Amino acid sequence: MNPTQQNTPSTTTPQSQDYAYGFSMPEHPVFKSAKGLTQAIVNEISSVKKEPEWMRQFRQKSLSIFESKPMPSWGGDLSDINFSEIYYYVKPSDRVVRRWEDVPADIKTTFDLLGIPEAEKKFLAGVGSQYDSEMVYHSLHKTLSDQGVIFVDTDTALKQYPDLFKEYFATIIPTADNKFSALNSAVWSGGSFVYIPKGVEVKLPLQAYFRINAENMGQFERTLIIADEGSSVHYVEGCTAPSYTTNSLHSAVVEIIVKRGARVRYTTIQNWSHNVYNLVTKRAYVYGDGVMEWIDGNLGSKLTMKYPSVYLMEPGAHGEILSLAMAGTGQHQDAGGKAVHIAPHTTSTIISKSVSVGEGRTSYRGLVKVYPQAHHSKSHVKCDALLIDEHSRSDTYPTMDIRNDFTTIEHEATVSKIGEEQLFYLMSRGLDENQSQSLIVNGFIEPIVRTLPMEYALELNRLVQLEMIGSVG
Amino acid sequence: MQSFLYHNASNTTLTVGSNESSQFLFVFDRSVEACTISVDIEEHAIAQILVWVVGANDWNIPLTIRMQHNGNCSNGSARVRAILRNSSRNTFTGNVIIPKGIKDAESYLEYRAMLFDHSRATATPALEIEEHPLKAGHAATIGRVDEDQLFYLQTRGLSEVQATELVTQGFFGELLESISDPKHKEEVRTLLLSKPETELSRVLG
Repeated sequence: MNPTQQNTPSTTTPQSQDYAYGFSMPEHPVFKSAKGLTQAIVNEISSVKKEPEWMRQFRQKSLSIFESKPMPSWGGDLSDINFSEIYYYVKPSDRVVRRWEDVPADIKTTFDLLGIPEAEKKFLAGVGSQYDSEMVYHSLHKTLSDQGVIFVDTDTALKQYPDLFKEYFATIIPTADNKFSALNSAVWSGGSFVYIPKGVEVKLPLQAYFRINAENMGQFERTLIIADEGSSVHYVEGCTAPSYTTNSLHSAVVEIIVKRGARVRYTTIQNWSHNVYNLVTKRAYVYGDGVMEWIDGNLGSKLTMKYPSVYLMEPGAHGEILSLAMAGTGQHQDAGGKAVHIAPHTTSTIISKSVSVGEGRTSYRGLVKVYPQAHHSKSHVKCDALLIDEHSRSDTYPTMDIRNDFTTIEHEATVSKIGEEQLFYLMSRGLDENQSQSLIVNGFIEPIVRTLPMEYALELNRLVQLEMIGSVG
Repeated sequence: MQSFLYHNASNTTLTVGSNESSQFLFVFDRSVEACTISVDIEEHAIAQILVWVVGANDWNIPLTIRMQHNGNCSNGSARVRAILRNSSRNTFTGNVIIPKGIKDAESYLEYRAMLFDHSRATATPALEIEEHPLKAGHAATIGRVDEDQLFYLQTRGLSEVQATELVTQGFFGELLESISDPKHKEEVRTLLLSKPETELSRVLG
């Protein structure tokens, strides 16, 4: 799938036949920063947002860390990213609204096309949508807010809950963790801030939707989830962007704290158009008997480099990472996960499924690390790759660094091509080749789809089918 | 099948020519400089690499196996067994490369380590696959002796040390059985048994 060629993308609606979310709306930003990244722009972002002084200083410090760090030399090809050609901040609307009717009309049309209000109608617990850099729509089921659940955009959290914010912000992923976490720290905007009080179980999933509309846009959302003792929550995010001919950059930071006995599931369906660089840092600290589950579906983007991590801090903590990657021609999904066992009696599971179609390339990159004091820890890693075409490519780079002799670590992986016999059987039952391939792929990724809420499972199956169309070489 | 035995080898470059099949046996039982075993596998060739690592006394044994498929229907497998004691370390990097245009290659990479007494293992069994393989897989396990097995053997009257040695013997022995050349099989067995560090001889004696 190639991005649609458009001369004036911001004022027309490009309808890519391949990319279902390839429409774009006219830009009417209230504020748009100049291109490029300078100290002045970082100051400007901070002053437009009316942030406290400590945050401005944090951003400036992050900018200098970003500039001092080299580009990563491993993973995907990052040579096409030009940091000076990107708009770091676009504010589409001058206030965050809570009622759907108040959202500006063109933004509303975009979200209508994406099906956001339908989600609301289905009594989903809360919906937050990020359009370019700012959250424009946020609502939370009343019963939940009565219980003390906080689900707001991160900018609002900084103003409304300054103490809670400062206590946890940038504690899980320090600014200097990597070049892109430093970039995010310098220019972050929007994202979700979730706090679940002690013992509260949020039964319905909280949802957020992220969308890039402006061309050459960078989106740098920052999400912070705190699940207090014994609470549980399922957070779901989806991402799309219109098909522009020039590249966009998405570089998010997601920090999660799972306290004693709490449970967090974080699901991502990433369907950026095929010109978005998706370079995301996600990490969770899990305390005693807590459970963290990452469900990470990567279907879109030009290059994704994303390795959700679990740090198991106290005995009984459990981490689970389910990673699904699908790459078509022109795409490289460099995905995987990290499990770091810091405390004894901790367990982790990583399951990765990747599908390469056409000239697509998928890589699994993972790390299991067991520290000397983490005795009786167990980890199981399984990665399977399916190659659809002769030109598809799949790589696996697992690393296991085990420093305690009282542990059990298992890793297994297979790479296979789509079975001729399976295809033949299905075709003999009257399906055409495309349908048969989709069915086999659906079966292959089923363990991941099973964990999704129904709307997302349906969307995922449909996206997989879209990816498969015309893949027969 | 041709068979070659290497004892504490340094960097080794190997090629298995078209339609040939070879078995390469490596035993490491002391600290070594970083050792890279590199094998190129031509059309319809079969290459089997079997490696035993005995770690003791703070030894450091860094090992890399690079297996490149250069011809259609080439078949490669590398299997490593490491028993690490007394704070020894083993770093294993495996890399299987199936370049574009090489059809129906079959490849398998396996690393299994058993850890004792504060030993450490780091394993990265990587696959780089640019062309449809017939089959490609890898597996790795790192851990200590299976408690259930130890318990079973102790109920049969063995001491804990004896039971541990029997289990580790089985761990190495599984791979010994794959050696095709009887002379080399005996030599590897002797090498592994002669090490007082393995304490195998004591149990079997």
